Amino acid sequence: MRKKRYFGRFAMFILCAVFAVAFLLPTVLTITNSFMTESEITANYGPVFSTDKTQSYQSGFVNLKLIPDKVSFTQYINGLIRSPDYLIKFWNSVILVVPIVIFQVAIASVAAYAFTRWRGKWRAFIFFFYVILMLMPYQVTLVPNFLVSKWLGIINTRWAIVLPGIFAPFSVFLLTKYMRRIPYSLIEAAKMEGAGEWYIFTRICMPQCRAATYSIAILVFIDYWNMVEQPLILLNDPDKQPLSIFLSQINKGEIGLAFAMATIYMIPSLLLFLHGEEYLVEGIANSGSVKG
Amino acid sequence: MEMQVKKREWVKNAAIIFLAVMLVLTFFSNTFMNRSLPEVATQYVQSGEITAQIRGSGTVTANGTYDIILPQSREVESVKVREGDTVKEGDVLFTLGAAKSDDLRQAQDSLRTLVLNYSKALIDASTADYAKSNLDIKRAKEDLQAAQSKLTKLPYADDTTIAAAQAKVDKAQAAADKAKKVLASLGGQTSSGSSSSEPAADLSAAMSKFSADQLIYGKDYRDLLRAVITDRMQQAANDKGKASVTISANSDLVAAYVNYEYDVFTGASADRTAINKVAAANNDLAEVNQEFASKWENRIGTYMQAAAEGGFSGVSATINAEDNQQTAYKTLSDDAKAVATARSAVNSAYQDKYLSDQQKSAQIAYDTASAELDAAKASLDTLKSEQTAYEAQADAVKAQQRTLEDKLLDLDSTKKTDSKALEKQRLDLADMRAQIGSQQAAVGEIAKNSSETDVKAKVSGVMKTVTAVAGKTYDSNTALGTIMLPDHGYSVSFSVTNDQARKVHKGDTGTISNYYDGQLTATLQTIKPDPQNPQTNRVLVFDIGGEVAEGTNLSISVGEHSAQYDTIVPNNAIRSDSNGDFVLTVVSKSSPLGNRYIATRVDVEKVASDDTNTAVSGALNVNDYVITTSSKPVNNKDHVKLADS
Repeated sequence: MRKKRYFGRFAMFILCAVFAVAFLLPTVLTITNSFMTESEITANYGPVFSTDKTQSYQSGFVNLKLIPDKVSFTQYINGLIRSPDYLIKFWNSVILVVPIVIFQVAIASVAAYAFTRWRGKWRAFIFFFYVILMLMPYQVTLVPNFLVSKWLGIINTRWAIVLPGIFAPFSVFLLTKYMRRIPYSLIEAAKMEGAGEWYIFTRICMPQCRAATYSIAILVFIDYWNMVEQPLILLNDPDKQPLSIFLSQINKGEIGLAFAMATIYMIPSLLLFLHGEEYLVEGIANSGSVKG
Repeated sequence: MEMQVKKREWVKNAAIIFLAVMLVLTFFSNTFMNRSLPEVATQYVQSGEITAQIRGSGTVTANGTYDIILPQSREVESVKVREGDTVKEGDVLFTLGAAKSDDLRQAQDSLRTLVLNYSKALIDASTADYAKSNLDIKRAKEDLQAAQSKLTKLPYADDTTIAAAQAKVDKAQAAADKAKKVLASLGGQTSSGSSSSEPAADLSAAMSKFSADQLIYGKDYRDLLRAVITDRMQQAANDKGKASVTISANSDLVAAYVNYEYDVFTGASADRTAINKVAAANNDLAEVNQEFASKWENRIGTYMQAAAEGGFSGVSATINAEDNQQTAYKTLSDDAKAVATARSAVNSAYQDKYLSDQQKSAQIAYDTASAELDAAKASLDTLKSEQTAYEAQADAVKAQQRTLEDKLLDLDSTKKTDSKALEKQRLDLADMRAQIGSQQAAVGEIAKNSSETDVKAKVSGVMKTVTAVAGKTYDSNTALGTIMLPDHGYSVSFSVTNDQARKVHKGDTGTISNYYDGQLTATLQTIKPDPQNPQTNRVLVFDIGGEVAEGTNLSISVGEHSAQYDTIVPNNAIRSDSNGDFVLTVVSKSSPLGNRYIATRVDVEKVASDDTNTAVSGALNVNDYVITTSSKPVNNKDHVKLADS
């Protein structure tokens, strides 16, 4: 009986290990390969990206290697020191994402408070409309976004990315669900004490919603940190495009550089996640558990 | 909780450090980058004037020279001049050895050979001799005359005579064929005559016997006939279905029929009425006879039956009656046959006698006709043989005539050929005489030259080359040296491209840049295609005036007229590769992190150039920066940094 239990646990362990390897392999590969030299990377992955079939040192197949033959910081030096292009793209990403996160959280908080406190007859309809919008894939609204941006004259400016990002329905939905968890008696008590709406919102609701706010911020940050379609469509100027665009174009031959910059690029997301890990779990867990 | 706070602090610090590092790197990024970029010097594209100069260098050569040619193979005893010496007309340049020259010896040998060949040709010159041909012709004529006289003696049968003889033969042949046919129709060549016996007597005896037997057996035979016919009629009456039987059971008719049959049997003339009546029954005659014959066989059964029923007496009576009838039949039948045989013999004898006479006359006629035919054929054959012999002799005469004609023609042809050969021979001899004459003149000339021991200058000038060496023997027509003719002037030539050649004109004055001794002038005299590259290059030939020595190298520049151009760049800004000429312009790009400069290729075409600048056409504007020099090789789209000025 005991043997059988051990065998079951062992099988489960193997299965989990396989899945763990499958999930971690791309990330690990990116990090380790970023320390390889350009020639080593070409030798390993040349056939995938190179159009020059005459180079004899290329292997005939893709050779996945985790450990570099010689640890080299050449790619980092190339990306961070020798050329300012990638740094500019990094800061372009920061310039695009930070306003989106800040303003989206701010606007979503206010909107969610309104959905929570307002008892008008259109409330359910408008909330339903938000949910419908949230369900729409981004590609569906991309063309209208482009047309509206062009009409507003903000095409090829960062506003074309930031403005649609600020008014996203997902955060409103998540925060509304979360705020509805706050006991109404708490707000009643504050009112009886003479607190106004702003006071209640800032001093009672928002502190209660800190976890949800944090989780929204993380999710929105990751979402826009990785965006590809919006800059490709709305930003023609390569100098304004974020680093995610460069990473999506690794087939241009700079694969070693792409590994290094991808490693750099994942650091902000990782730090943000580590900083607000428990908030993220709590916020997502609690946002849908209470009936609004 | 405390762990979480610590962790969050750590993460926060890490984020701050990361961002700080990124900021620092960004701040210094341009600085770092510029350290690795090639530094370039630039100049503005300008507009202005350019005077294109075409440069080239070449060696001075004299325009006129005179080669000193040795007229005959001689030894040069001494050389009196050196290169660069000025010589006048009549000056001794070389002295020659007094030895008899090889040329004279060779010329005299040639003369001797020519004279010898001429003498041999005279000996070999043939004259025409036709005696044999004439003799042959004479003999041929005699043969022809003999054949003709023989022909006239031969009898000649013409075609009409032969045709008449042939007609005679045909006629005799027809008569013979006709007689032969008659003879064949009569049964053969000859007849053996009548039989040995006497047919008439036999016939008479047979008829007598037949008549006697008729008296004896006539009644019995008539009874027999009646019984058979009656039986037959009875049977026919019984058999109503037999339509062919029309004879009724009339006794008169039976009698008539019996009489008829009997008459027929006996050979007497029959009653025609009875014949008509019984004609319908003739078909049954054979059947009746057959039945009559078979009846005798049936009688045996009848006899046997009668014997069984009525005893031997009845049988005997029946047999007797039957025997009588049978005997009568047999006797009469045999008599009738004997009569018929005798009659046939009589007829045959008669016919034999008649045929024999006919055949004899026919045979005679046939024999006569055959004899006439043979005579006619013999006559025809004789005529034909005479004709054949005559024709053969006529052919022989013709052959003799042809032979004679051939011989006459051969003689004529030989005479013509001999005439041509003699004419050629005459021409050859004349030519040989002329050769001997010219060779004699040449020998005289050489002999005269051989006596001269000096080679003198025929023109005045400066010795350009002296190739002869004292003590060496040279072949005739060898140049011993060359005299330059200063009066003809000097020239310099060099090759330029077609484009360059188009910019200068004949008469343009060039500037000589590397000659400072005295005043030299260079005037463009000729522009002609370059023999080395006739498609792309031309040769400029300058006439050099002033004191100059041949072989001097001169650098000449000839200028084009000045022109105004919109885009002029320094010469060192022009680069070229397999795609043609181009310049690299510097395009600046502004960004939040500062200006960046990118080298950009602009394809251009050279329009004109001078020592420092080149006018170009292309996508260039005035005030564009073009890269003139760089600290490292620069390619299109490369980032560069500007040199500190």
